[in-house]
Amino acid sequence: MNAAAVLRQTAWSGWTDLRSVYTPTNWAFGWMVRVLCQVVFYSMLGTLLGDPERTRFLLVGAAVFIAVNETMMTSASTTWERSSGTLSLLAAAPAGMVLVLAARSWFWIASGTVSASVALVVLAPVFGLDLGVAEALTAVVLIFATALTNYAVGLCCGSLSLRFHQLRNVFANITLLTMTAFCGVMVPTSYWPKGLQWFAELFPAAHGLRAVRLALAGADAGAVLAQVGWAFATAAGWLALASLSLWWFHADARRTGSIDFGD
Amino acid sequence: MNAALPAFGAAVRFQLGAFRRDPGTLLMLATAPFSAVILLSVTQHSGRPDLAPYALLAPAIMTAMGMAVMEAGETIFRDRAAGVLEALLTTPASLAVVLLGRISAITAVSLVGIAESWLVGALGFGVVVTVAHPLVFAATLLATAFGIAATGVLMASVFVMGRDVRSFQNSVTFPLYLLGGAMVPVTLLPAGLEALSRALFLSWATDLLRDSLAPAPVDAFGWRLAAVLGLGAATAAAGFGVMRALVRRVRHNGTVGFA
Repeated sequence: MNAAAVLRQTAWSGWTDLRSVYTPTNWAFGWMVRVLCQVVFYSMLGTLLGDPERTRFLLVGAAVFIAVNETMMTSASTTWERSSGTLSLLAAAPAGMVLVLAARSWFWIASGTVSASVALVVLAPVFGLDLGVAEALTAVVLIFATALTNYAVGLCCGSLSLRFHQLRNVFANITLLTMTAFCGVMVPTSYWPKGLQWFAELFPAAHGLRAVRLALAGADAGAVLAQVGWAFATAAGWLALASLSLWWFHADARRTGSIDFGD
Repeated sequence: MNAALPAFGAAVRFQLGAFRRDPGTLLMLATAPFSAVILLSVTQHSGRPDLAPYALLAPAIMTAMGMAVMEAGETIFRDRAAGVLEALLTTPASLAVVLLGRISAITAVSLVGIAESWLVGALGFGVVVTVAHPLVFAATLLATAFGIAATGVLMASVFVMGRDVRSFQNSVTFPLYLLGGAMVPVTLLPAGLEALSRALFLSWATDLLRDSLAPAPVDAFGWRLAAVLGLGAATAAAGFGVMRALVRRVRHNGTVGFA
């Protein structure tokens, strides 16, 4: 089976996963209610501070990071093969598990882009962010780029979750909160000490969010695209790390026969 | 009541043991310091040290409420998956009492989040928050813990219905944080939302906790504490009532194990 056929099957598997995670009802009245409340919760900090500019900064950060939040769920969904009993079959299959596991959670990129975009567009007028059609469309494209590149970070956490199953939620949550704290979501990265500023630059989401902020501030396309470039460059590093970690897990699990005993 | 007390005690002991066996259930205690860093960085960066108590109280409240809601759901789903839920319903002990015991233990442990937040402020930002009215703070905290445990029981009782409601488990935390005024007082919410939030014990509790940290005298403490306790008791009554009705339903349908 060639890689294209493997990816086609994996994409279909992801689609069925998405349909089992979200029904139209629980997406609209469950997940999106939470998303909107989360973004309002953080944006209201600006209201508390009595600072409209800060409110808009928080709104954009919180909304874009919904896409990051959702793509971090890749960490949990990477381990679903274990609970459905298909991990050992994947390990035995000639196609191998690395490509399948790397692509199986693609649906979080799609759903994260939609959730974050809806939150930004719906709440922008509520919190005084003037968002024209062109700006909104640009923001959606850049949110997609943020979700796509952060997927690699989620996958990296997922590869660790396969090894340390009991801690599967810990890796993703701590990484997400680290990014939320230091990647310019709530306060500019320049607030933090130099070392933390450099650390934040390692995450694609820091660059993706910066690209959205630059685009909404009317910066020139070159500056926006440079940030998108950095997002993809850092994502390539995370993807390489995730692939290596998945390959190591595969090889080690086959060698020790421990693939179904991760719990 | 004779059967209730031993069941409550056993449930508390079981839950404390569960924390030791599966440290992943303490995830929210690991995330509390990050939430404190996130919220405190906003107030400090804005030059508003007067709001530091808000930023350090919020992660503690979010941790306690988040753990109660999330673990309430997980408790039901894990018990169902392990076949324990069916066995539990055949015993004389009330499921609601067992859950109240487990969630009370969870809430008690989650209060460690207060110390975590305080330490983040003191060690990470040099912000030392003092409690101006310790008795008011302690009494309100106890009443808040009761309300949080009651909310957990109410959530767990809904989760007895089946896996369809599990997808909503992740969705209830932020609406509760927002309407409960965990960080931003509900007086800043739009009028309609503020009125709705006043039906939640948490909005009264967070206002009172914040006031207990400030040097100014606390207005109408008795009435406000009564509101926290009264609404908490109403939540507990709703939890016990819903639990009784839903347990009767899944027993009648024979869907306890695979609802």
